[in-house]
Formats: sequence, structure tokens, C-alpha cells
Amino acid sequence: MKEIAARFDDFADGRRTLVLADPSRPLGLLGIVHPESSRNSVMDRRSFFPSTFKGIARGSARSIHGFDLQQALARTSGLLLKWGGHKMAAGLTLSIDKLDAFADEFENAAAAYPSETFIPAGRVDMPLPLDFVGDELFDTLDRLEPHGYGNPRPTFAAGKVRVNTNDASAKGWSTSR
Amino acid sequence: MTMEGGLSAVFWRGARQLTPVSPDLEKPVDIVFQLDRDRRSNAPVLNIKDMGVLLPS
Repeated sequence: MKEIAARFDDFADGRRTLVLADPSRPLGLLGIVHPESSRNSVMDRRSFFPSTFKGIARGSARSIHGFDLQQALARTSGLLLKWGGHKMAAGLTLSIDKLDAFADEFENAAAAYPSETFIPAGRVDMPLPLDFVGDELFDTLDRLEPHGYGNPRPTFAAGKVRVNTNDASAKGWSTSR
Repeated sequence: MTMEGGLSAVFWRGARQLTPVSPDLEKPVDIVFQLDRDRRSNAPVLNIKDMGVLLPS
């Protein structure tokens, strides 16, 4: 995984997407290392991780909000042997000798999006200073239940909060990451 | 971990990461969180989704 993360650093500069293939890796392995790699360096990019076998590469990817994988792949379809998916996830098969051309065309598809699309983002419903956390607030939040698909649990943000670093778990967290 | 004011909090990133580096906990941090209750004590618990320099200053 460290080796692949290092390769990300080599390739990542100036690109919004990454396409990596390694004939020495068994099918499936690159898919397994994808989550670890994304934590290290490429959360803001769309990545394909083709595994290769006998001149053929197979890969899969998941997207981020605002980036249409299906549309991007449709643009590259002339280079692909097989592909399918939807806005948020897709898979493909292509000849290894088309990998570089595919990487460039996939990057071109991403370049058509505004740069904001690739800034990591999360949803926050409202700011909430920690002073407001108490029984009255919980009573109010209880009225919003049940939570689930279509009615997610509210997400809050608080700025400039101090963590008690005398807390053993906080210390362990801060030094082990 | 414990936040200022004594509120308990848990922070489990899982596979998600919004901030590129671990925050320096000696300094105040921005947090994104959901509210929960401790199943035993019923005390409020912050379920922290991310922390670091997240909000515009």
C-alpha cells in the first residue's frame, strides 16, 4: 500500500484524476488497497485502479458528488472494450495499450468540471456552539426522528473548540495518526 | 475524548477523510459532529465526523 501511495504522489501533481495499472498485481488487489490510498492522498480525485491480465485491464471506481462517472466514461468509450455504471460508480475493461490514452481522455473529462467539484466537502445543517448541547436540544431533535434515508440525522459544526488533551484517548489519537 | 466543558466525544474516521492532516489538538479546532446519547449514562455524546481547520475564519 505504501508503494502505491508513493506512486500517487509521483503522478498526482496537477491532475484531477489518476489511472494506475500494475501487471505484477493480481486481479482485485488494487481494488483492495484503494481505500487506504484514498486516505493518504487522493480523496479529492476520481481514480481508476485497473488490474491487468493477458493484455487486458479491468478497473472500477466510485465517484464524488457532482462528478458524473457515466458521462466521463461515455466520453472515453471509443477506447474501452466494455464499460458500465452510473453517476456514482462504474467499471470498465480495456486493452492495456489504451491505458495512457484512456487516462488522458478521462482527465480531459474531469477538466471540464469547475475546480470546486474536487474540493473535499461535507454537509453541515447548521452551526451549533457546544454551549447549546443539552436536554432541551435533545428534546427538539427527538421530534425529527426517525432518521434514515431521506431524513438523515442532523449534522452540526462548531468552530474553535478545545479538546482536553489530558484525556488519554485524545493523546493516543493525536500521536498515533 | 473530552471536549471543553466536559462533553464526551468519539471520533472515528473510518474510510472517510475531509482534512488532509491530523489537527494539532493543543490548538482549538473546528469540528463537524452529530449528537448522540451514551447508552449507559444517557449523557450527551458528540459523534465527531471530522475535525481540524474546517470553517472559514
